[in-house]
Amino acid sequence: MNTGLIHFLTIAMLSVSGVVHAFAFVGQPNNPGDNPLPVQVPNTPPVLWPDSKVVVPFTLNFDSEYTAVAVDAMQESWNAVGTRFQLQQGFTPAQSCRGNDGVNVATFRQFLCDGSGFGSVLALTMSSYNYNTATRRWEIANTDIIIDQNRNWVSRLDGPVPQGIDDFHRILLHELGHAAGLDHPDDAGQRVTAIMNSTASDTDSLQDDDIQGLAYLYGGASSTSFQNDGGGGGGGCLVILPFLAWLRWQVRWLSRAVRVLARTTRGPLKGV
Amino acid sequence: MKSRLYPDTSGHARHRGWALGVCVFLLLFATSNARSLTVEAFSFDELVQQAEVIVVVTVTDRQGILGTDGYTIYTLVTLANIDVVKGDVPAAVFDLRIPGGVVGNNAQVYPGAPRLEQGQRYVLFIRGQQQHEFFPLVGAYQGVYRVLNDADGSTRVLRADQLGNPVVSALIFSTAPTLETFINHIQESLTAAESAVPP
Repeated sequence: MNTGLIHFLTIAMLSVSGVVHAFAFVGQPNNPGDNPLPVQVPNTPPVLWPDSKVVVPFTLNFDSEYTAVAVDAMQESWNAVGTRFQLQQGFTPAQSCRGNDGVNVATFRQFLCDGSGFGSVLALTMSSYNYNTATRRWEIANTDIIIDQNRNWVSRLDGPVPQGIDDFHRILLHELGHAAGLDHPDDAGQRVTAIMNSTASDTDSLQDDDIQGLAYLYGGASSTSFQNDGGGGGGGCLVILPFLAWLRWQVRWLSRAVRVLARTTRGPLKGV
Repeated sequence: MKSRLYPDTSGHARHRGWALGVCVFLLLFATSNARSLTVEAFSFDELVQQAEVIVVVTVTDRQGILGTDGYTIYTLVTLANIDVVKGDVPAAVFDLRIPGGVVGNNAQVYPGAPRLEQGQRYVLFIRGQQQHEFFPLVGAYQGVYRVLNDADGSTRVLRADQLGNPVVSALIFSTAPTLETFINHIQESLTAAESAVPP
């Protein structure tokens, strides 16, 4: 199969899948003082940790095995993106139900803080925001991650997860992304592979979309980040570079997949 | 190049075309899944069965309140103009308490949690309102569908995301169904479940 045809098919498939933006986050409201807006794509200023608090300590209320997995999820995944946003293990004793108490905690719980059950929820991130009257922006002030301890957890699995089991590592990766301010790209109508999707298949690690999302919010490794100048608006046009990088990655990946599959289909012909 | 190495007979060409079709299908649906990271994923029938109440409602008010624990913020969402599809509602107008909201200069956000906008009409799959479940909707966001008026005058049901995408294919609809079609599917699912119950 010639390369031109492969690229044509790849781009056609991308067009059909309707991808317009990459990643999503909680955004600032249009009118200062209104509620923060969940599930925004990059045409709205995001709600971020303030510059003075971008190194975020998390008290990890887990046993040693799960704590090690959690620290790994922080250091080897989100921190490795290389942005200003850095997670670290904290050691301040904390109660997960104190909400905006300035201590971020990740913990298992049998019930939620008000005594209610988890229902169909496996884990949730409760982010508390304060309204900064000087900048007229909402800022992340505190984040607690609460995980349903009644589930059948394993500390870490790669790839597919058998029915009836839940993989702690990928759940925590997802929740830590929320802690940074990221939201579900699929809830924003995007069809991308991402650990931040509200539903997931075999994705067990950060994907290109997740990395670009964090880089957009906090910069550092990327020059295409959101510019948190407090001036309102902004950020919208800056998504084009991460989007193009994502598009290039998608074209490369799909081209390779099409080529491999095309080669596979030739198998029976080899003897001809 | 290809034709030199692999002579193209009509049968082989058909074989390759079929394989390419499968390939395109697989790639397009590679991101559709059955499991969820933070919330269990439900089929449409499961949504219907697990809901205690299914209603078509209009949100007429939203009010942030502080919970009795003094820390948790909720939003009381007032529901009116209620058409009941399944179960019973407590009153002609009632409040649904959704976690998260704004009180003064403080906000609490649960990313991925359903957000019900004032003035919008929805189909809601409610569960746990009486049993004190944290998110009183089946599968959190999965139990929320927007109802919109189409340009042709018909009323269509969409998944409740920000961009108003059609009801996801996993939930059996490939395009936005009319409200009537959507409710018919709910009733068919209810009927099928009733007939499956042994006497």
